[in-house]
Amino acid sequence: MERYRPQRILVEKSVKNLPLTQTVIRRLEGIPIEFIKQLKPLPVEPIQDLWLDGQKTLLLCRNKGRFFELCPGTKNYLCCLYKILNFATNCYLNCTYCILQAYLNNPFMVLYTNTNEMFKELDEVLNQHPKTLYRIGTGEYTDSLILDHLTSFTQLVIPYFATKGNAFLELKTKADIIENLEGLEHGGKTIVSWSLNAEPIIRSEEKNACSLDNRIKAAYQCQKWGYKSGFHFDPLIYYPGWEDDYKKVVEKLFRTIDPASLCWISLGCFRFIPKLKPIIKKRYPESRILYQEFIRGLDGKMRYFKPIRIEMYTKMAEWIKSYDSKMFIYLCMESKEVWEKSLGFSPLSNQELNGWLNTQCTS
Amino acid sequence: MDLQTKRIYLKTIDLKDKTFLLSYGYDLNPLKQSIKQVGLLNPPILRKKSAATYQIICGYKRVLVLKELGISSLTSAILPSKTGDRENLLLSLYDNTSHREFNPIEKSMAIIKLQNYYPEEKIVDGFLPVLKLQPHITQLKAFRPLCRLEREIKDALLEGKISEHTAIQLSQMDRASRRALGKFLIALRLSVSKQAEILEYVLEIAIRENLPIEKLIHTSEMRSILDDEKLNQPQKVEAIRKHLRERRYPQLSKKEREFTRNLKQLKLHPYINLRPPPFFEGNHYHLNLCFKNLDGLKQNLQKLESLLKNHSLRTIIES
Repeated sequence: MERYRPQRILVEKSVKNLPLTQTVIRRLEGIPIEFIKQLKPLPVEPIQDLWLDGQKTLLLCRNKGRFFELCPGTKNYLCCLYKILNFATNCYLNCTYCILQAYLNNPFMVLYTNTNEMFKELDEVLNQHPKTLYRIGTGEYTDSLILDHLTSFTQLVIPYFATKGNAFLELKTKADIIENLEGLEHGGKTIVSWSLNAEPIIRSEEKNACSLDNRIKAAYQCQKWGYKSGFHFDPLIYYPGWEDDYKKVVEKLFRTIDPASLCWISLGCFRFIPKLKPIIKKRYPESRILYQEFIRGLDGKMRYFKPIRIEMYTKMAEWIKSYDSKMFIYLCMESKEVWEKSLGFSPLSNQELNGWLNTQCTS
Repeated sequence: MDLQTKRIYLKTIDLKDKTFLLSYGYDLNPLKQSIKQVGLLNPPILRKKSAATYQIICGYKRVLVLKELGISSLTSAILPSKTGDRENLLLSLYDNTSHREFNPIEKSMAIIKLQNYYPEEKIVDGFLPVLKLQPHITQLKAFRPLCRLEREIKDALLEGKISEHTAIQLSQMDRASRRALGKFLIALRLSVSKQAEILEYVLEIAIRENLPIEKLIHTSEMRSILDDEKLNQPQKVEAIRKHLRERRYPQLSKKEREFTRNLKQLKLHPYINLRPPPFFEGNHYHLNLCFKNLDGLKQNLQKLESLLKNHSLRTIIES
């Protein structure tokens, strides 16, 4: 996997002297830097037209809003009450199906370097509700590890969570940039998770991400360093012959990974907001992922027709359980009916699902 | 602008030279009537092309009408021969846009001709608004190929038989697909929304089944619908739409058929209507009762009561 190296760095003057800014600048010596008071308004073109060029610019700036937020989830389906730590936005992996294409209003790779304020905000949240257990992820608006070779952000955040009694950190990635995780005091409080997919899908839709083998190899390495891990089969993509390919992924996974160190495996079928369709069609005309049987779901997102989802979840769960019958599997943004028909049980509420996942973290 | 008014013979004008022509799909009759009644009000603008011929810069239609009326000479405004092509194109463009809006084919012609002299960014910012288009590169790219469509498709667009959206989609296809699909859509005479729906089905089925569009359109199922003499035009359109939808969404369509079959077995009274959740996604069924008075309501409720014992209802709700 090719690691990110921008062609230009934009630095907001207000963060110029912050330690993380300095670290990144030092590691990108030789790349042109421009110091700006603030970002100028962007041209009127749709953001997707500027996307690939925009990602060649790394913007180091202050997060003027909140770092900590609730995962938006989705209405009318069960969600796990995940929390998000928003330390960076955008992702140069450019997976064809990525929601960020329709979500972000800025085409640059953005890193918020005011980490002092981030930790202050986290302290406030975690101290305010000491009895609440938080599962916090950094992989919502970016991939958790794709900038880590430039930022070593994990070396700040993993030791921080190790000291917090009521919070777990989940790093979600499709990368193998894990060298900074070695030797850190993680205290069992960081879960490193990989998003997995069938190999033909990785080749056609996740072209810039690392291979399946390297993802599994990286997970194995993290396990050896004592980290808990998780895997997300999300998005599961339906196509003729999907069964053989996904079954092979499950086989490969359990050939290498010790199930005992796994917190969870999640399953989520490909779903998208309608405005993503023309974006994918335009940016990736060769992609075929939009042409299966999608219907408008109860949350307005396009989803596979329910029997297709149930079939995919049922088979995936069966293959996974054949390796470890006690493996904790959960569905992402699905209805109780789909849970029951696929897995044979369902949480009664988002709170109950949250509780199950929290138990997985602590056990 | 240094124009010289001069009377010249019509035969000296090169009518085949359409370098600066920005009109398409015009009707000469109103202009013919006007010239017949009051004569030529505005002289065409010409440029000397060679020792013996002139090139039309503005006024192609006027010259055509004069020719049709058998007039041999006309008063013209002659530009100096050194006037540049870019300047002449602008003259033609603004002469037209000052008094009328271009149709989509003319917009395309203008974009293509402007590209000989200006970069895309300049056309987007400087000329698309003149053509009443949004100043955006996507508009330039969408409209640019329209004038290269087959005449049948261009005319269908101007006659409202196909929508601008459809024409743009057709212009992005290979020739064989475009001709087949264009002919098919023109023949169906669809509303804009049905046209968009059928177009989307065709394009997506072709991708799903890895099938050339022309083959998809000429399948025996499609042919048998189109050739069915018992069906009128709206019935053909509905049958085509239904056939394509079933092919695009086979599992959903199968489920819908099953639902309809089971519903029939319930033998519901016409005043009672049961609808499934949209796309069978949620789990809320809708039951409508129609009644005139309390007795009617009571009777319907009794029918519903007995319906609860019907096994088919269980099949419908729990499948």
